[in-house]
Amino acid sequence: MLADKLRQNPWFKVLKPAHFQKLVEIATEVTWSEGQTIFREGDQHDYLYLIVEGRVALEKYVPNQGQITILTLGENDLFGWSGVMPVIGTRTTGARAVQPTVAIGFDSRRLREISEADHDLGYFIFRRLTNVIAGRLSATRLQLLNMYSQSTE
Amino acid sequence: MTVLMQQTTTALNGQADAMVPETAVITRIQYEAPDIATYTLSFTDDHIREQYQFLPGQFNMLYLPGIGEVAISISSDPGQPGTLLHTIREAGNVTGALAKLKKGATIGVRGPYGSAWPVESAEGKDLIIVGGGIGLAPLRPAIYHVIRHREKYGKVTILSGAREPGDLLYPDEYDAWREHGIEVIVTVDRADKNWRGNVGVVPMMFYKMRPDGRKTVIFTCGPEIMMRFVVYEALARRIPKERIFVSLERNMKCAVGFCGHCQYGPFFLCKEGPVLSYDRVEPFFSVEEF
Repeated sequence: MLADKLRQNPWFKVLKPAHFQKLVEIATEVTWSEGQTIFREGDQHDYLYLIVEGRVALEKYVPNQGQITILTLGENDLFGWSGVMPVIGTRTTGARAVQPTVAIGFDSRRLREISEADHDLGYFIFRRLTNVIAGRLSATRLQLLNMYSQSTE
Repeated sequence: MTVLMQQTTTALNGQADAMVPETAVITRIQYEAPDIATYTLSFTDDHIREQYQFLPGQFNMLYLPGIGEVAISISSDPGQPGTLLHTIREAGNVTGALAKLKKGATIGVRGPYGSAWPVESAEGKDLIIVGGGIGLAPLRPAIYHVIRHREKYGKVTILSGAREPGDLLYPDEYDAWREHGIEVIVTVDRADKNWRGNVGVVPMMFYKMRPDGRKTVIFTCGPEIMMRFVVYEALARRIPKERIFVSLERNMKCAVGFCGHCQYGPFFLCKEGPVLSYDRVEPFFSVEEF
C-alpha cells in the first residue's frame, strides 16, 4: 500500500492525519529499471519524487564530456524539487535510475495548489523542501571547493 | 568519557638520539591512484626491525639524503609492526624524489611520533571512521586494529571519499573490511555514468546513517574543510565534541616538539597531535590562516 510506504518515511510520521491524506491523494507509485532515464535536463516539471528504494543519479550534460553525475540519491531522499518551485520552469538536471528504483511521485502542480489552500500543510512541505535545498547547496559548495586538490609537503 | 590520548613521542624504540634516522630499504611499491603509491619499508638493522612498534595514527619522518625530510603517516597494521607501510602522495620536493625511487632503494626513517587514534577508549562504542582522499591512510592502522579486536566495538562504519573513482584509496580492501561486519560507504565528488556507487561529498553520507550520539566515536582525517563539515554533521547528531577526533597536519620538521614549525594554537602537532579531540582544537579549527 502506498500509504504504508509513505508512513515509513520520517517526514510523514509527524503529519496530521488530514494532511497525510491530502498528500496520499496526489501521490502515485512509480518504478524504474536500472539505467532508465527518469527525466532530462530541460524537461517540463511534473512530479516531485521520494525514493522508497534504489538509487538515482542526478546528471548534467557537459559538451565533450557527456553525462556527468553530480549527486546520487537513495532511500528517503527527495528529488525533482524544482517542480514545486518553478522559478526556472524546466528541470535543472537530468535523472537516471542507477539501480532498479521504486519511488512515490507527487503531482507538482497539485502540491502547490494544496499548499496555497492550506498554509499549515504548505509550511510543512516548504520547510522540508528548504531543508533539502539547503543541504544540496551546502554539498555543492564543498564540491566546488575541489577539496582533494593537491596540497604541498 | 575518559579520553585516552596514547602518546609516544620518543623515536625508534630504544633509539638513543631521536633526530638520527635509521636505514630502511623499499621492498615493495604499490601504486594506489594517480600520484599516490604505498611503499613497504624494512629496516636494515635486524634488531630495530624486530623491536619497532607504533600506534594507529602515528607518523614517521622519512629522510632522503641531500633532499630533505617529510612527515608521513604510517598506514600499515600495528599488529604486524615488522611490515611498515607508508602511503605517499607526490606533493613536493621530498615526496617527488621518493616517487622516483625504485624497489631496493634505501631511505632514512625516524619515528614513530605523535599521538594516536584512541582505539582503546573507543571500545564498547559505535565507531565512524571518515577518510577523505589520502586521509584514509593514517586511519587504516585503526581499521586493522578494530578488525583485530572486532568484538570489542559496536557498530563500525567507514566513510571513504575521493574526488573521482580512480582516486579512491585501498578499494581492493573494502570487501574484506565488510566481511568483518563493518559497513563501508564509498562516495566520490564526481563520476561518469559508468560509476554505480554514491556521488556526493563525504559529509553528506551522514544522512545515510543514524548514529546514536550517546555511544558513537568519530575518527576523521582528510582535507581540513572536509573534517570541518564532518564535525558539523557529527555535532548535529549530538555526538559530543570530546568523542570526535581529527588528525591535523602542519609543517612538521623536528617531530619532537622543539622547532615549533608545526605549532597550532597551544599545540605542537608533531608531539601533542596529529590526533586531537575536537573539544581541544575547536577554538582554532575555523580560524583563518591558522
